[in-house]
Amino acid sequence: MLNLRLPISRLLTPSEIYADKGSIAVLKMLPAAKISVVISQALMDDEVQFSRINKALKGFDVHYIEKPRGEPSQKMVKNLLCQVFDVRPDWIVAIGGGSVLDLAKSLWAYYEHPDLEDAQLFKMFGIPPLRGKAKFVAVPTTMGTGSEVSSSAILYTDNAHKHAVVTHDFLPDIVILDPELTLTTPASAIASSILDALSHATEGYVSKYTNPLLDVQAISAAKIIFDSVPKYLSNPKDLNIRLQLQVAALMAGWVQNYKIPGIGHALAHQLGNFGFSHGAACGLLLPLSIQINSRSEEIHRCYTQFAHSLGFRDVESLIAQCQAVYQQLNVNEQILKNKASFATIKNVREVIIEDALKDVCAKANPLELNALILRETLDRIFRELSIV
Amino acid sequence: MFNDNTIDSLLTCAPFSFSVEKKEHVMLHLMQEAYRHHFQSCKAYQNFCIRRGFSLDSTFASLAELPYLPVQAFKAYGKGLVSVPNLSIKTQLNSSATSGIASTVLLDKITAKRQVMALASVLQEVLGKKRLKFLILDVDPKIATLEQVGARGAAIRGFLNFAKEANYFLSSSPEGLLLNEDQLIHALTEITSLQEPVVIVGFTYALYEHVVKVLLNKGLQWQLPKGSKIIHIGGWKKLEEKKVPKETFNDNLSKVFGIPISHIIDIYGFTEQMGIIYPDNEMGVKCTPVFADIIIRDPVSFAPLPDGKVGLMEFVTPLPYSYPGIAVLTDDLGVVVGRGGDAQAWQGTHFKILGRAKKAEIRGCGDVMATKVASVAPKGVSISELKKTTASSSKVRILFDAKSCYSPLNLDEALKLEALPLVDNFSALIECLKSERVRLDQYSVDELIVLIHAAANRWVAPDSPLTSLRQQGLLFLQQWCQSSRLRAMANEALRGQRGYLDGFRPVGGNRKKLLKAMPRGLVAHWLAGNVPLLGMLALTQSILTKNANLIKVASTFSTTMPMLLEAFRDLEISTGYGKVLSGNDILASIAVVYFDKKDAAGEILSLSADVRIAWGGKEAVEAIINLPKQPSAEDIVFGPKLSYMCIGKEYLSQERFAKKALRRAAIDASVFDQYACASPHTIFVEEGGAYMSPLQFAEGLALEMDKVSMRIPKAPIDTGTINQVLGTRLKYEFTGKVWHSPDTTWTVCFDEANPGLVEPTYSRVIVIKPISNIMQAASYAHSGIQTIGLAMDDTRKQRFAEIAASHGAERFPEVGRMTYFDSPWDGLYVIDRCVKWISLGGPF
Repeated sequence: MLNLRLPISRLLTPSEIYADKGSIAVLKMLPAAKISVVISQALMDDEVQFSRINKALKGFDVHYIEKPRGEPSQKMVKNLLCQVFDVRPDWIVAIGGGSVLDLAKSLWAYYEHPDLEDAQLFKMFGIPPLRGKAKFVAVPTTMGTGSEVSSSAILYTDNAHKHAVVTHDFLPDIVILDPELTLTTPASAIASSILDALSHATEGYVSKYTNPLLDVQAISAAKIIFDSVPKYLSNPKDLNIRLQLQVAALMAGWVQNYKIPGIGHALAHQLGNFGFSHGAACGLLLPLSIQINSRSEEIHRCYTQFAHSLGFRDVESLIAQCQAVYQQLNVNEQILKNKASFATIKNVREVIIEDALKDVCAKANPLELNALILRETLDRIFRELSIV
Repeated sequence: MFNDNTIDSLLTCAPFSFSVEKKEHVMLHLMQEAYRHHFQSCKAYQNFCIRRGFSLDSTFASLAELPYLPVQAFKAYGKGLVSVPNLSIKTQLNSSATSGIASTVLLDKITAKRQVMALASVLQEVLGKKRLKFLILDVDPKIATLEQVGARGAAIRGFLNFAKEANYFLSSSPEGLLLNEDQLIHALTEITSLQEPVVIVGFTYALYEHVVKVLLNKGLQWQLPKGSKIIHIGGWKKLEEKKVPKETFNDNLSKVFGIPISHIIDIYGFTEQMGIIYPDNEMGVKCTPVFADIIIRDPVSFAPLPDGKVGLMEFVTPLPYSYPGIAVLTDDLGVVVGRGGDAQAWQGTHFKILGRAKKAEIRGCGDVMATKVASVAPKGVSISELKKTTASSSKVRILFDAKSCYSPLNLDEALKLEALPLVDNFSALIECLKSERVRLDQYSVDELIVLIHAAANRWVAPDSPLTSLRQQGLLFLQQWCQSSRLRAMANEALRGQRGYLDGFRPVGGNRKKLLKAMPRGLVAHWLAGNVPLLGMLALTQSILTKNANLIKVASTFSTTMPMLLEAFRDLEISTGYGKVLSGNDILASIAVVYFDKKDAAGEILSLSADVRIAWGGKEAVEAIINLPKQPSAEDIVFGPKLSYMCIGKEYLSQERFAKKALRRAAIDASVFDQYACASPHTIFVEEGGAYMSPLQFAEGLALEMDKVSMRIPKAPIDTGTINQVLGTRLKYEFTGKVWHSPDTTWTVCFDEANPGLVEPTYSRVIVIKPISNIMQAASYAHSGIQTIGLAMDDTRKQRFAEIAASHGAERFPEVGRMTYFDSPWDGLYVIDRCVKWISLGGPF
């Protein structure tokens, strides 16, 4: 990888990507001696899935690390790290949703650099090179976080602050998209992750950071999602459709990794602190994000182009389609489930706005954001959800 | 009688007959004349004098005011120091070069005649007017040609004028000097039976080593006739090295030849003022004759010193006519003990010689020649046998081990070897280190790196006792030990993955074959006295590879290595994942010891070692490598090597690049005071740069060297080094241009006359050489060249490196980074050499 310091469009990808039904079997060919597998609890508990994974890893010296409940935190990482050091793996395989993949990335970073200090860890590209000890396989089981092609990992500090750990070395050596593994994932989690992916593609397309390589990916990802969601909902067990959505999520992940989504993600990150599903919040905020950004003629033109590429008449149609997908996926329930938090949110609205403005996504938003715009956005969300 | 103020007249006077006042008056007059002659006749001398503010009309109130040439001038530029037409030169004298480089002195008839007269004048005082039989315990000089006379031969020829008859008793052979023993015994026996006194002539070292010791060992003694004398010349340097004091020398000579010690006469003289000799008087003190005088100078400031103070000896004489050696500063230390004298004794300036000023030690590292000279343990020699034979005689002292640091934890405190505890059983110590090595296996390589990083931070903590070494490489070492650098280095050395140190890893992209990097076992380090910090670089890599380490230090070793290791003691790091890393686990398999180089412990250590790492000069390194060893043992040898720098014209085309190159070049030439094997001594600067010429580069470099000297202060230097620096400055004052600090901190020389690499002077002396095409400088590389710093575009850089590498050079870093210790070093990865590669599965 070039140590690029120029603002030139580029696309860094995992070395190998396998996308097929049953592709978990490629693990058999892994040139590994000892493997630590970081895995979600749900997969561990699912005998069928676990046996498929175990079969693929038969013959290796494998050690499973089950991800505990909750978001990856430094405390969680430190509690699990001794298991990694005991095994001294030459490969780390992460199988699960975005938080499992993020946990594995953080374990990997500490395994290679046990004396990492927070200042170094949370500095953009501050981690020294990885792969002196181990390589990394990512097997996502959701369809939207994009962690499998992301250069970052979310990690909570001991005082519950959410931080991104960023290094391009996190891009896996191998990504495996096996739709069969997504069958264990709850429908609500899949629905939420699809909205996250759609938001990555749509917000990313208009991002302040231009990248022609990824605009194509954004269009393709959004197109697949708009086409596949109805099919998925009518036949949720269909592995081909699931695979399509996984591919769309991967492409949308590329987009968010380089172009960075905007206002919707900036606010969704804050709402996540109050228990809101990240993907659902992104889906809720996406139409508003398009509307607010479209106040700028230039950005409106950009959305129009995006809409046309997707086969929609105009931006309004795009918004309508986004709202439709949100409705179809029925995630509003997830949002409203957190009704109790709304009172809190209203009380700390100004803090949320302040923190959202500091978010990297707010900085990538094509329209210059300020407190007024964010306040308006939040108030519209509250009205929409009839929680005023 | 001295009556016409000429040198010829002076040479006819009794040599020790002038009062202080008369001598000063005569000498000042004749020296003033001699100065004018050489100033007018020798361009190089004239340049030299003008640069020091003298002119043709300069007058001198005292002899000390005259400009003086250090002896190095004759070593560096002797052939250019000529004050007569070339046709007048009849003889070229070359010194014996005991100090490394020979001096050259060009003689015409006038000078040669004066030398003979001067020698005769003083020798008559010593031997009397009557011609005696000479027994010359040296080689007959007739074999030398007239054009090239060694100073030794010339001296013998000079003595022959006083001999009634001369016989020679040494002959030269390919093995060295050989004593014609039977002839000598016969001659001495015959002489003893006669009543006529004889004179024995010899060169101090050869006389003792090849004659007296031989006769003494055979128990042979004679009683030579009364009045017989022994005169010897040549100096004490070699005998001092063999620890033979003057008293022993005199006693043994007196014993063998039956001559009183007062008749054994030590004569001092030197090639640059040949013919003028300074014999001991009966009190063992030397005295200057009427045609010469001595000035003692401060070794640092070169100011004249008062009588009674020890300093460098400068000799002044108006005799040299064909070369400007009228005032010569020697490398030798002496002291003036009196002036004048009564009518019965010799009059003149009385002085004593106290030996040679300490020579600069050449430090160095980096020569992989181990495999060429290593000797495998001879058949039948085993450690157990060695243990039996040496247990009682071996004396190994311990400076540091897991239990304690026995050497002072203070850099200023001298290491008292005799105060260090003796090791009862050296083999048991080695076995103990080997068994404790397993404690390293419980750590991953990264955990060891964490410990080393933490210890390195202790070295530079505000309360560290190592603070005074911060600018002497400690800061660099600490930076080098930062975890990210160590990890990167380990990855690079171990096929991209340091994880090989922690377990089997696949190779070749599939599972059929796995590799693991196993520790070799015991790494033995032989450190040189001057490389304690460098020694840590190798030790760190040995620890990372989980080896046990036994470090043998030199007797002159400072306490640095134990102090560096002490930083690991009781160092504990909680990882946050429940493991406590302990520095004591690292120390458990490390010990630092001292034993004499002849001690059998050296063989035991060598035979026990799985890796032998040797630092030091050629002789020291060869001695280590020639110790018996295990057939499978790896050898890593860091011996003396040299480096240079090349600046392409593309770097001199723009102000920005040129200034950058200057700044960086000054750093390379200054760090470690240029004693690192990677320090440049010559900088080739390509002509044709649009912004800066090579000469301007030299001027700019002088400014930068001055700036760097503020940031990186120079360590104190000895008088020998000062002399070397001054000698180099002189050489380029004669032939090129020189810029330098008021003291000897830094020197930049510019030489467009002589292509090729310069002999290093060290101590921040850098020589700039213009070159029309920088690629030509690639062919100056040879197997003794380690690093060539390059400032040129990438295309030329690669071409240059390919050519220079084919000639033997090994590293081509950027200018400004030449001395950064890097891997590979000397063409090898130390980490890789400290492991054994184990394969599992395969082949495929």
